[in-house]
Amino acid sequence: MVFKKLVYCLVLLSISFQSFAQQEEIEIEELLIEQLNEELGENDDLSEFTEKLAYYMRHPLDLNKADRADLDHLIFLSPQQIENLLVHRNISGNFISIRELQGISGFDLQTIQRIQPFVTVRDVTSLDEFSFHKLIDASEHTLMMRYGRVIESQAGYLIQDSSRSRYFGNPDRYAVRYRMNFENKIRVALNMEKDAGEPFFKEKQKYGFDFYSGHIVLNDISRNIKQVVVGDYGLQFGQGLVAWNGLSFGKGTWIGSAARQGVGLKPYSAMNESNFQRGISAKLVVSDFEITPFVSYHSLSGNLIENGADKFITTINYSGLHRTPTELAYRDAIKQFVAGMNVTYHFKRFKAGVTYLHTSFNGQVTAGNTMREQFDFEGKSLDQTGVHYHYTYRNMYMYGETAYSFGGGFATNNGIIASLHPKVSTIVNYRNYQRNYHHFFAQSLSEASQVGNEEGLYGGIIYHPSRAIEWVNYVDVFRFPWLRFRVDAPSSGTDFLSQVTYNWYKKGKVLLRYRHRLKQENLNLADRNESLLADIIRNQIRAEFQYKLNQRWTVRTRAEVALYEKERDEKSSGWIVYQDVLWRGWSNRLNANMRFAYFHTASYNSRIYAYENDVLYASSFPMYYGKGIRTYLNLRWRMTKDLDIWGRYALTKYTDRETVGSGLDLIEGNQKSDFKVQVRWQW
Amino acid sequence: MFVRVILLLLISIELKAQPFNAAPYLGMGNTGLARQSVYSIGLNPAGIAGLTNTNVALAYQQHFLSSEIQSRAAYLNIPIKSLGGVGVGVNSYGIAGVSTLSTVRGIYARQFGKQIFSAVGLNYHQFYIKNYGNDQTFSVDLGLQVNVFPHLVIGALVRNISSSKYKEDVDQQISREIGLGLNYVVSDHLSLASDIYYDFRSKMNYRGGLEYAFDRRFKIRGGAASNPLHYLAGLGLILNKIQIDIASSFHPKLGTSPQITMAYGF
Repeated sequence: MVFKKLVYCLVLLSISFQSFAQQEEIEIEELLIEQLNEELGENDDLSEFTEKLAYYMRHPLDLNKADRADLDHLIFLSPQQIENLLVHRNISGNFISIRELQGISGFDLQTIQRIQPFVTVRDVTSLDEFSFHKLIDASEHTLMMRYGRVIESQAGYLIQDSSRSRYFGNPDRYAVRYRMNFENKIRVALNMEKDAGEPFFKEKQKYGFDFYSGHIVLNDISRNIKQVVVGDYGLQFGQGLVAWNGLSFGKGTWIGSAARQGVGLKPYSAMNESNFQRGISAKLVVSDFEITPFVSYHSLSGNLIENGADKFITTINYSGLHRTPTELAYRDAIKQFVAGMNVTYHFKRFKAGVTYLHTSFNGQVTAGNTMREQFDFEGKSLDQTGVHYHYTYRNMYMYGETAYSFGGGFATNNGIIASLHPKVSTIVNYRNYQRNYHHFFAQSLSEASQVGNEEGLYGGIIYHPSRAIEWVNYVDVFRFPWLRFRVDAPSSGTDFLSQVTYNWYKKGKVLLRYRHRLKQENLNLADRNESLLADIIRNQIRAEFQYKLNQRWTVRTRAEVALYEKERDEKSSGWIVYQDVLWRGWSNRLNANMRFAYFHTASYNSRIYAYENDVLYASSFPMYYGKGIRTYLNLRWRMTKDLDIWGRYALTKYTDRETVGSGLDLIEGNQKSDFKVQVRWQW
Repeated sequence: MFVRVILLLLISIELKAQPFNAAPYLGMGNTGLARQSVYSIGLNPAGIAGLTNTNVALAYQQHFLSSEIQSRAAYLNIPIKSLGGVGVGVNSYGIAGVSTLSTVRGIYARQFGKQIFSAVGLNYHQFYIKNYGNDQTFSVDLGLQVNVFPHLVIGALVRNISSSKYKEDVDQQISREIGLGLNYVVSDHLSLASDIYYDFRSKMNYRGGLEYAFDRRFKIRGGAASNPLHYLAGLGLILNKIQIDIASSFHPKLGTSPQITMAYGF
């Protein structure tokens, strides 16, 4: 205890923390985006992370009560940091102050800055009795509605000929979110969405929205029943080789993110229309065991062909779009049944678990006939099992998972994170996913979008020469033992990233990033009958500067260059510069931010992705290609404490083309613009 | 296997030019320009200027796990009071009974104060192909190391400053390059190193690595180098006066090249 107070005093002396102004929810998204490596789809919904973090911002997580699963939500923490924090609490007793975090091994200033808005230290209080009356009074509700559309008319809406593919609905987009939370014991969530082009109260969407999703969560029902979810939920076990629903982070600039922390059961509340479970699941605790049984029955979109009594599934479409005759015909045609269980044993610094997962369909899933699809899954049902573990020994965190798909192959992913020095951390990870490993929900550290047909060794090092500087490097060397799409032979590649960040405490940062990627792809030469493999080299150089000029103004500038080179084929380059200005005024009741970007890329291959601010929970990661300018303006007005209104207008103007987009999204003219309006009411 | 390896060697020209680097340096991402030990004889000769005792070392490497292509090396350094030291190194690379590239190197290293170390190395190269004859030439290397801060050493090397070449009909080159490296001792347990080379012909070559000592006797090393991007790793074991190191490069196409070295300090 004396030691503890001493640490506390020393820490107090060494740094005088400024008071933390309420951080914007938008800033959380930016923090997350830093981590994403641009492979995220344009429309992926990040809200499954941001919503939880926004919640912790309003109701900070008590470091003295938080368990591992709670801490996992603070995705800035590496598994090793979480482990060290829990061990520290066990040994030294409850935290007296957040500043004590600095005394825990593995917690550098950057990490503490990142998690500070989301955590607190409270005195222990006893919980009040539950009553229905209280449920009404103490519940928090949030209702959010969004409307948006592309302003220019797109080809798909203009077609009248019923024999041609066209959009059945109008270009309006609607989204509704409702949340109810009673002291974190009962939570209700409901999401509704209509994408552009989808019918509304018509066709197959006769109940209005195209996508409905929701759940009811009951927490801490009894000593043994930690959580029950009825409705939509996600499963995240081990390293994600058997199941990982929802978004995930892989190779990136937070070294810990390569080692996943499967939280098990996770209520699902995002707008992404696939990759979740629909049914019931629970988290049960019996002494050192955590048991998660689950069952789900879910409709997917895809092509189901009936041949007499036999049914065949040739395509499963995960996009969630149901606009054209084909997409509407596919809608909900496939029924997917999932059931299984995970049992995890936890003892001190050791954790290990077993997962079993069964998936079956209302038809026979068929694979394509090409050589590359030779090892793809075929059948009506799939059984998978996996064993995962992690263990902390001194300054090392060891983790991994090995999974097997019955009738198929194995997949394994194992690694070590080591804090070699308070300023230096490293990670080494080996993965080997056999080409005949089958799954429907797996996501793990990988170069390809699928877990399968891949072997790789990933190594990273993070070095903090001083409090302000962070230098991240990683190398990934991988091999695809079997053919892939547009790669007619076994192939290999490498990925290298080096990034230096200089932080002014609470003021700004300068970032420099270099990324070098090498992969192989088919090369078709006129005088050859078969395809050869050609090396493709992608180089990315990024410089970013962000600075908070004063309480009102923040500026951010980025310049990025992308260089693409395919051996004996194409060589192209692209660049972008943009200037963001963020403003807050009227005692923070009105916020605005805008961007002006100029981009010029020689081809699609040298395209550049960049994060864009948007209305809350709608941030996107669009690609910039061609030549032109892009600009947007976002506004947020806090009308009252309970009511927020957002608005957005965005415009892209090309100087190198007469039409924008292709197919049904084609726009005559050289510009594309859209707007959004969003209202949130909290009571 | 033999034919395959020869073919691979022929198509990877850059590989031919890769000079031999001893296991303690190889395992750390093929770095070592700013390190100081008897193994610097094979890399940056200035690395022996600060040594205070006599050392002898032997190295053996199998390239691409094929027993036909091997490297062998022997090093000896003798300090001269507080002035610096001299060193001798012998190195041969080749396919047993077919062709051999041999280098004999003599080094004179000089220390200026406690922070600056410099050296000159004179190399005698011999290239021999069975039944075809041989060729020989001399080349000169210059090395410099500066101990900028107590834990940071910067090293520079100009290899083959004399621009020596073999006869025109010999398809071998004496690599001519300049390198700049640093070695940072973060703590008793951890060192970081990084080297950059420019070879006047093609491009830059980047290397980085780390060494972690679990205790005084046992070390683990790892790193990566470019052209093409590949990993390197190694282990070190210190038993009183004997030091044994193993290391390997892991080339994505050609495979593993394990090396073992042993040094004895008098």
